Amino acid sequence: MKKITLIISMITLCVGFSSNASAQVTASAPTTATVVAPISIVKATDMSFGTVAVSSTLGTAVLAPAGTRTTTGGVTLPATAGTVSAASFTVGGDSNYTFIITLPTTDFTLTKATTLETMIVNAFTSTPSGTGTLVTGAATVLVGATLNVSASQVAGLYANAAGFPVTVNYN
Amino acid sequence: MKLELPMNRKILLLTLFILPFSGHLMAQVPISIMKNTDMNFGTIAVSSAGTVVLSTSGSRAATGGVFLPSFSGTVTAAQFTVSGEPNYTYAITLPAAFTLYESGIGPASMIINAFTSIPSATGSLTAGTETVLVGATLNTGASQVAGSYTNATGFDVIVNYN
Repeated sequence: MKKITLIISMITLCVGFSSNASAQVTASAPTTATVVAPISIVKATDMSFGTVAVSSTLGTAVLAPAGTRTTTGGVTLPATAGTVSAASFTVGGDSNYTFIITLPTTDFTLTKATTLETMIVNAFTSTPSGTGTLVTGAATVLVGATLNVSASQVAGLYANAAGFPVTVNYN
Repeated sequence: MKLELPMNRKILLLTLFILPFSGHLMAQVPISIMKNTDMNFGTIAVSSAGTVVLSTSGSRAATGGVFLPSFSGTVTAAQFTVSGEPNYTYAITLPAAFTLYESGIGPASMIINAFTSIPSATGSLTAGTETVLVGATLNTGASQVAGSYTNATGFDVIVNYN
C-alpha cells in the first residue's frame, strides 16, 4: 500500500513539473501610429506678366512673388499695365507642419497664338521660399518668375495654358 | 532475509525515478518575458493605400501612397526581454495580425501584420537573458482618416523553451 502511494506521488510530481517546464509565457506591446492629413495644393491665381513694351534690345521683366514688376535691358513698362499677378497657390494639410516647395528649374515657354513666336519664363521664385508652414492647416504660396524678351519681340499675346508645375510635400 | 529484498528494490526503484527528474527539476528556471518598449510607427501621411514597414532595428520604409515626413514622431520597434535557464533555447511566437483603432476606439482602423523579430523564431539564453526586437508592417487604406491610431491591449509575443 505504501509502495502504491509512493509511486502515485512520484507520478504526480513528474506530471506537475513536466507541465511547468513546457509552460509558455506571453508579453504584450501596445502599438501606436499617427496619420496626418495628406498635403494638397490648388492653384488660386494664374501668373500674368501684364503688358510689356519691347525695343531692339533684349531684356527681361521680373515679376516678384508680391506681384510687382521690374525690368532689365530694353524692356519697359507702359502706363497701361494690364493684369499683373504673381501665381498664387493654396496649400492644405496638417496644422503646424512644414512643407517643401519645389519650383520649375527648367525653362517654361509662352507661345503667341497662330504665329508661334515664343518667350521663355524662368528663374522662378516663391514666398515662402523653399519651405512653408501650415498654420491652421493652410498656407498660401506666391510664385514669381522672369520673362525673357528677345530684341524686337513680335507684339501679341503670349500664353501657355498648360501651366508650370509647383510641387509641395511634407518636410 | 526475505523481507529485506523488497525494501532494497523499493529504494532502487525510488532512486531510478527521482534521479532523472530531480536533475531536470532543480536546474530549470521558468522562462519569462517582459515588454520594455512599445511599438511605434510614428507619423505618416497617406495619399493612397500603402504600407509602412517597421524593421526590428526601428527604421521605417514606405510603399504605395504612404509618405514618411521628416517630423517622424516616436518610431520604435517593440522590445522584450526574455529570461530563463542559461544556454537554453526557446521558441518565439509572433501574432499573425493586430488591429489599431483611431483614438483607440475606431471606427477607422489599420491592420498590422507580417511581424518580424530578431532573433527570429528561436532565441538562445546564453547568459540567461536575451533581448527580442519585433517589427511589423502597417497597412493603410486608400483614404485613411487622419488621427492617432492605438491599441493599448498590445499584441502578444509568446516564448517557450524548446
